[in-house]
Amino acid sequence: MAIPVTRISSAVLGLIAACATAPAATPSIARGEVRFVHHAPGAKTVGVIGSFNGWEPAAMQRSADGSFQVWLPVPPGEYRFAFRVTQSDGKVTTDAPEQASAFDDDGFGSKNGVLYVPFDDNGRGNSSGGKSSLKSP
Amino acid sequence: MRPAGFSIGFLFALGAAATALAEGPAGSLSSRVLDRAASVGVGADALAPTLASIRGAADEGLPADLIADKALEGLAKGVSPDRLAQVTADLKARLENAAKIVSIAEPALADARTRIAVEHVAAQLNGMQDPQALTDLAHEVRGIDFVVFLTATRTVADLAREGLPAKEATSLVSRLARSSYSTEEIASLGGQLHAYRQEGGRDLAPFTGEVLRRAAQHQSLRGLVDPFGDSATPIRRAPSPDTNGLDAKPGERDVRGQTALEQISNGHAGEIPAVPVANQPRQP
Repeated sequence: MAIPVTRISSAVLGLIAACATAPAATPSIARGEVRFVHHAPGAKTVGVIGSFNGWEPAAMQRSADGSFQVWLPVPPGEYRFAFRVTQSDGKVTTDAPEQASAFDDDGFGSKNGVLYVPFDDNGRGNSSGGKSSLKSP
Repeated sequence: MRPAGFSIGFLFALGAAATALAEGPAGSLSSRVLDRAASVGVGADALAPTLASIRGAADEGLPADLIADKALEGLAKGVSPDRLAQVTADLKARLENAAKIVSIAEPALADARTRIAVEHVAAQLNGMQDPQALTDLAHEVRGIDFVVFLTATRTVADLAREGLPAKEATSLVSRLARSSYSTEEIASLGGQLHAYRQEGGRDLAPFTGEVLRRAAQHQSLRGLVDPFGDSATPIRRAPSPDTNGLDAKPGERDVRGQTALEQISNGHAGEIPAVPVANQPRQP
């Protein structure tokens, strides 16, 4: 069976990125899911948006410390992501992540985090837990 | 409520959606963008320039889905349609430039690889002050292995972002790409130059000089930076075989973290062999 181009692309580009990037704090990965965390104590709601979900906000749950968190299934590959924050007064802003493998200029005057979800040795999504890593561009 | 206005607006949107659907793959991408735009209150007419970029990219055989994705990102971030039009037009221009660069370096790529390469090169061009550097690189490494080419473009962009003049980065990387170094070692240079600067290295010449010196002797490019150095040039000099490993300058450390004096004191001088690294490109 032919391997989809997007998977090849992710594997190749992720390999290069992983070599090119200095180690950095990144979202956690476990059992094929990525844990996104964003500190926004005054926010009403926070959603994570990214190229892995077509930039449609995925709701995050508020924690006792004022942060918002969510675990989401993300297939192996390289992605851009950010957070969409709705303040208590209804104002909506976009925040760059505090943790990412790298950061990219989004072209709109802000930055996206770069997330690399690695393949396992069999070309499947990482299911063993651990940290995501990169890289890039 | 204004029924007439609603009807006209609705029909306009319906017409735009129908046109988009009739355009094949570009049409389905446009439809997705239009649907999202409608959900956030952006009219179809305001998106016409963005949709034109998507359509134009598809017509030119470029990965139009990347432009659609950028449009979705902009809509999610509340970007104005005018700004969205500008950013997507810029992205289309980068994709066009990337396609030219790829065609220079790898004129006979299969479609799938062309798409990967164009996407990758376009990403490197984003924010690059001297995009001509990648065109120059493509000429320099024409016909080289696919993954080495992708690695080289990434590394030139990384080095340029760290302040190395693009011409110098191109010259350095093209030389390494044509040698036997692994893609991992070449790709590591950007991160190592970043670390060098973090450690206080201001003059970049010692860094590139050490890379070239090691390349001339086919030595490993790993461990270029001395994280414990207190000089303005925190470089670890790999020992030269012809100097019996005693070529760390005063105050500088070798790949094992030893100064020349420590090498002698510990009796380790000359123990570290040169490390020729076989190029093992990973083909997708």
